[in-house]
Amino acid sequence: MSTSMPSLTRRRMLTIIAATGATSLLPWTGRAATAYEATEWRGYALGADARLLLHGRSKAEAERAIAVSMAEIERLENEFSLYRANSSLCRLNRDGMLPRPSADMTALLRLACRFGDLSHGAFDISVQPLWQLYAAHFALSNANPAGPSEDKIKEALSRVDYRRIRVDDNAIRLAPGMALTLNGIAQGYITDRVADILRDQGWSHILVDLGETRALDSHPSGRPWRIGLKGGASTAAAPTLDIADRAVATSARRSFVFDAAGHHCHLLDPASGHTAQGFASVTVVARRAADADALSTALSIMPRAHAASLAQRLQDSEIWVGADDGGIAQL
Amino acid sequence: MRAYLHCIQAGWKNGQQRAAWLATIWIVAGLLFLPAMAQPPGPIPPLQGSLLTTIFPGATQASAMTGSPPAAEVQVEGGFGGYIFSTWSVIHSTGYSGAPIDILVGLSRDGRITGAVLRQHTEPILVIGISDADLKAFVAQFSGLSIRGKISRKTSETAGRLPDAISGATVSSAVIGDAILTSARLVAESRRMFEATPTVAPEIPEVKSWQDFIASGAIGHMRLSRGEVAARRGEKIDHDEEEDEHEDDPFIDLYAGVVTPHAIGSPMIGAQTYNKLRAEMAAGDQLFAILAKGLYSYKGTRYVRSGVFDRISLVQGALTIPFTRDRYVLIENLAFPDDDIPELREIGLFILPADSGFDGSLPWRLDLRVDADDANPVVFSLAHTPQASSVIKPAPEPAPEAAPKSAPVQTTPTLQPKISSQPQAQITIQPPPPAQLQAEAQLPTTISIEPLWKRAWTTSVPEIIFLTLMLTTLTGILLFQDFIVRKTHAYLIARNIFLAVTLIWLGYIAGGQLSVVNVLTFVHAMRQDFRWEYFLVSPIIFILWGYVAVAMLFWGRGVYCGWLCPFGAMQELLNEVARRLKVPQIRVPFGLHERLWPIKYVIFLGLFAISLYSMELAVIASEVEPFKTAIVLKFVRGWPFLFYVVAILVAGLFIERFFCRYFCPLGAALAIPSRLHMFDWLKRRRQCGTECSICAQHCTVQAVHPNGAINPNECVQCLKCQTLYYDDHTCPPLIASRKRAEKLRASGSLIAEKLSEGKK
Repeated sequence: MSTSMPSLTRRRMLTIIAATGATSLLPWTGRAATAYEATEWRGYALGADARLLLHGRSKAEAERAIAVSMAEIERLENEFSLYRANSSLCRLNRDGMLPRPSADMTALLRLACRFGDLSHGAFDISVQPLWQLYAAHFALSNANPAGPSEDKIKEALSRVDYRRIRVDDNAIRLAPGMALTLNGIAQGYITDRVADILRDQGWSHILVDLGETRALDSHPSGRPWRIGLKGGASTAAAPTLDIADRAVATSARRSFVFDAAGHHCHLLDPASGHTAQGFASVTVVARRAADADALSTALSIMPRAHAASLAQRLQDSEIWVGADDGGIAQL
Repeated sequence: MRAYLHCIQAGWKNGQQRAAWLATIWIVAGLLFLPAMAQPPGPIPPLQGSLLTTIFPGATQASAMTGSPPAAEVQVEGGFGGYIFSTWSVIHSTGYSGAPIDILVGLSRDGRITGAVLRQHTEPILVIGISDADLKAFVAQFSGLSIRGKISRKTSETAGRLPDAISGATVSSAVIGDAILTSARLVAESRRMFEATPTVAPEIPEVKSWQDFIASGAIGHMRLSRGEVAARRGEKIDHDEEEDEHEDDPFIDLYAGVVTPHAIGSPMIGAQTYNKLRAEMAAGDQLFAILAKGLYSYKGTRYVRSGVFDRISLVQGALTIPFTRDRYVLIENLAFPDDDIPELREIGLFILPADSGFDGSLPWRLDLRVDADDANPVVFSLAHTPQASSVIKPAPEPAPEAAPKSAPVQTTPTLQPKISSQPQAQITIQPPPPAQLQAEAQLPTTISIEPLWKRAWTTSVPEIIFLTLMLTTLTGILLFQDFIVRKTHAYLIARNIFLAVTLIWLGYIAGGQLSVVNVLTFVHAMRQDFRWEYFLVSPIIFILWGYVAVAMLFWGRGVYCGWLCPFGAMQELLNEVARRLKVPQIRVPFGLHERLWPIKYVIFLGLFAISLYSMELAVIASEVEPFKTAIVLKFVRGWPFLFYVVAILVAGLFIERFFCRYFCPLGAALAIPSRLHMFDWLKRRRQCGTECSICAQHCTVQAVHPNGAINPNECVQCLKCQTLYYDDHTCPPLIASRKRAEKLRASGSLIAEKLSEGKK
């Protein structure tokens, strides 16, 4: 499966200004006389650049925390990754059934189904057959730039419906032909897990950035964390979000496209079977990264009017949408 | 003592001498709380000669027992062969009664039990029912058992099976089996026998209290307030609400950790439970405890249906270990002696199989999901790094010889295909097809590690039902005795049938012979470590005792002696036969008869006194009861015992219930509290004793005094006197009134007939 699929590279849509700024950054870079010791870890996790900003405890403790985080990411990738042939998710897709699922798997699937309901089906983790159709279609050198035929799309869509996933504590079952992708929510979930584990181990004022970003508390200096948004076009001025104890996630059409022309993005609409044509990007600030992740995906796929009405209903979150011209505005 | 006997003799005559009886009860109660004397086994005999080769065939030499737990290193031809240890030294093994029991066990270096010798025991139940030889044979059967793998109690599984329990002593068998296996596992573990390079593991300090337990380094702790949970769930907390009466209640106060080591697990859950669990666990399996108090239940309720504890999971590195019901052991209470154990709401113990990959010596994390039901779950984690002084490094799994690794990485052991033991067959193992996975996953398997007594009750349901039926019948007879005894002939036949059932079914088939040893054990247990489990383990005996205790308060001890004692029934039935065969009956003159009664009380008090000194001795002295020979062992015994029983039975042919009358210590023990009985339903006439003594002549045990009173201490409630009471052909006053009535009837007077009716 993974071999026939275009390799996924995420382009980052967010920048953490705190980490790249000049003066405000002193404590982080500084071996200079600082009130607290800071550790920044950069690496690669979940198919994207990853970063942890820790401070306030000894280097050794920070290293242990990083090791714990890495182990957790590894563990959850073994659950949710589509790119590991023996992950729980791949076994579920392969067998149509997963006996004795982990609590993480059942919790995430339940959460995903809830976002499916909330978005009236726009967020659907069972679009994997559609993804496979598009991936296989554009893998051919002479692919029709218009995309797969309607018949094929219709056939794939017949196997898409998250409501046919049966989640029980002792087994997960799919209807025949179904397959799931958790790429629209798992990163957020993993980000939350790492953040919560570090919180339970006594860390505060930290930032976890694994593709989706989650801040525990404020920046150690007391001010909020500053996250810069990149617009849909490179020239546009980027607004900055001030967040504290919040998570931020962005979905952007152009972060991954099937075709060279960029008409077919990775966001698949389970209503039509076509790739999404809504906002160029959607950034959601929510309490948790999983929520932000799922909502940003859902809002990108939904028709704009529906998206606006969903945004109205959401409490405790902020939504920024990017237009094709690169302008970014709060919804 | 003299006052006491005086009470027994005189009490019934002088009415209610309550003060004296109360004094007696206080004396007995006082004796109960005398400090109990522990009787640890004596020094271990030198391991040489035939003892050595019985325990460890092929051994040439054994060192002294050293190390912790102590074990002797055994040399065989060609070097080190294994260990010999004493279960008493390793786990302070105790038997069914809580008294020390010691078995010397040999363990070869590849994990096989080479032999086992029972050195000391004081199992009262065993002593009643089972010969020493049976017991020794049972222990010897453990030879050859390997402790590397899981050992099943199920008879259907052939691999690593326990020897069959001694029939009639299943509980003691189980306790002995647990002691052998657990000690062997602990010795193997401490010597790291199953590791590539066996070394001696460091000793783990013994945990003695809850405080020690928490400080042992094995246990992690997390306390969550409701505020913390609300914050993580993104809920606002109303501050007024926060200051309500429950402010101090934690959301959850969670303790968790690996309690596999004997020094931690045994004091925590009690030696018997620990031994039972360890006996079954394979090398490398871990015991993981989760204890909690507070508002939130970590178990939830969904596991009952799904078989999975959805609120908790164990994480170690990239490994996730779910908690499932088939690995769950319900523990009711912690065994720590403290009063300062926090009031725990939930106690759970989980067996983590060695192949789960969990390493008890490495850091782990317990994830606790809050509100797993709704779609807003938050997870808290209790992370813990075990201190080196609290862990045993798990032994690696023995390398499978020919078995290829099965494909799925995370399938649980129950889903793995079973490897058949066909020799040399080419075995290809494939993961079961999804359909099969589905079917198996739908049925959560449960290994019940229920207490021994529960097992005993569930396995003897038919006996329990029949006994209940028997006791219901008896209760009916006693309640409606006034009506039943009027049909003299039918009643006597019914009684003989009942006695036959008591003898054959209750005595010989169900093993329901009570004994004075039960009384002594009960008292002994009260003074040491009283637990209902000791008595619940044999349902028939337990139900009988329960019934006897209640019936005693209603009608006196005769309910047991006259109806439910198999040996009593045997004596009475034999005497019945003897009478039919015209064997002359001896009437003991009342003066002598009365003076022989106290013998049984003296015997009982003697046994009681001995038991305070040594239970072992008391059990031997209790051989004065012929029950063991005649009923439990069905006369299969050495000739001195047979001679004794036959002598008693022969005496019983001439003097009905000879043993009951003068010697039975159990009858004496029952007669003492029987003084408190409520009902005096045995009817007497004013002529009894003065004009007539027919009842006295017919009384099974001569309990009727010359003055006509029935002595409740002696009476066995056979109701024969009551059949006579209503028999207008035997009872002189009734004969007289019947004759008068007949005369009147002959003269045709209707009124007279009514009069006579009225008299009846």
